[in-house]
Amino acid sequence: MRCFDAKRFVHAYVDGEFDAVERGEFEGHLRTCNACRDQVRFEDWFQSGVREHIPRTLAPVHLRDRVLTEIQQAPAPTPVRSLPARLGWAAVPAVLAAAGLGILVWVAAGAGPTNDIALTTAVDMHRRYLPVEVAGPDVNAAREFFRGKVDFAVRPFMPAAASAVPAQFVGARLSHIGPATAAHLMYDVAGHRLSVMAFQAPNDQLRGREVHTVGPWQVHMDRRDGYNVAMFRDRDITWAVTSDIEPNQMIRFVSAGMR
Amino acid sequence: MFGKNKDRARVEREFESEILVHLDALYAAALGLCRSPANAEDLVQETTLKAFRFFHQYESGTNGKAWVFRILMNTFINRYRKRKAEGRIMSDLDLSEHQERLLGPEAMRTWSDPEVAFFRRSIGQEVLRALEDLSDDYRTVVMLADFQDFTYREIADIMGTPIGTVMSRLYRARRLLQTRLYDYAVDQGYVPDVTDAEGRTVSLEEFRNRKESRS
Repeated sequence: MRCFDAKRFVHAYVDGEFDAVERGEFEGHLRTCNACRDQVRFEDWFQSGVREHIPRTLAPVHLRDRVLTEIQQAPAPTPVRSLPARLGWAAVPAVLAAAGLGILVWVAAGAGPTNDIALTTAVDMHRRYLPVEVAGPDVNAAREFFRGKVDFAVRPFMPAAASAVPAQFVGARLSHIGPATAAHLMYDVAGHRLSVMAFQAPNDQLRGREVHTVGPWQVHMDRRDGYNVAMFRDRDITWAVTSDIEPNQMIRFVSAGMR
Repeated sequence: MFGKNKDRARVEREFESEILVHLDALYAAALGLCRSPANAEDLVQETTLKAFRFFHQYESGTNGKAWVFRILMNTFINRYRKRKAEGRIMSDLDLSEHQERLLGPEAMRTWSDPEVAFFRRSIGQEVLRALEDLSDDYRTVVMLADFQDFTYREIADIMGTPIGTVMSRLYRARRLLQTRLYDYAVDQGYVPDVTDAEGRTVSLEEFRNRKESRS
């Protein structure tokens, strides 16, 4: 490990974020490098000192009482709707409460790939800067355009102007995924390109690395060639959202757009 | 009727033992976020109510603290975060100014010299004051890492950002705190200013001599 690399990770080391192998590698470097060793000692000393001298805050008694009383009078917890079957790994579900929807996240270690052709094609179509055949910003024009060209009604995404994800509809074109014709919608999300592809695939079995529940849909997240891809099924249509924005933002885009 | 009461009592007990057990931590974080006890209390109360409402989505025995902190963060962002920052916010500009002087190896050794006794009771208050001057994001990441002992992964989930963002924010926030605490300590005479007016590096010897001659 070169010194330049080590400097970036001093905090991670001091914070105990390394596994045994990484720790061994880092400590190997420390044995030979005074500068990094000094840095580690300093950070360790500083963090410990701060932690030791911070005044401890306790919740006031009246707050505790207030909270307990309110819980006892609150309606029972909302029962969970259709939970997908857990696939049997050590998962830590984290709850993201977004706009009143409960969103559950499982991180799948070792789940199979998503529908690979769709994934590859979606990324391929996204990265190619293909010309639009119908231009935005009016999504209804796109809906009209696809009528008769694809065998399903295309309900274009359009997150509300005031939503958490500022998206502009740029345009659309006719495309294909494998043998199926597909609608390819293109968006601009805060300067980042984002593609949405919709195609008919009645027998699709999606298996993403991560699965998020967004309303009634199971959204499968995957990553290919530096792009994040979110896929989900709505009746017999498969939707694939491709972009380089963060997965969390993509989930919000899906959530805001599919209302 | 009887069965329902038993279930309800069990749910409440579970909620208390897995979620409300973190009430002190929630309040401490809420205070750091809101900077006012009244708002902090409201934030905690809204958070715990929301947590109870969604309690069936929490898997018992897993990371209750991270789960409820995620709700705290979202509630804060949606309802309590002020649109416009008030007061002076320490920016990355402050960081670059001080970094050269402060964080070289000589300086670092001076700081942590036991005779310098950098950390005293009053430092704690100054840390809290310095925290208030950080941006919401920087303040949050320091609180979660250093006062609540969350891992980077947990912080990333709570704040809804990638781990890389957590790491770079934490790095910058800690550096900002260090520069601020350094200035305070120099001001109070706890540490020597590592560069004097002419920009020469002062040694610890000189500092000790100066201290002795003063007393």
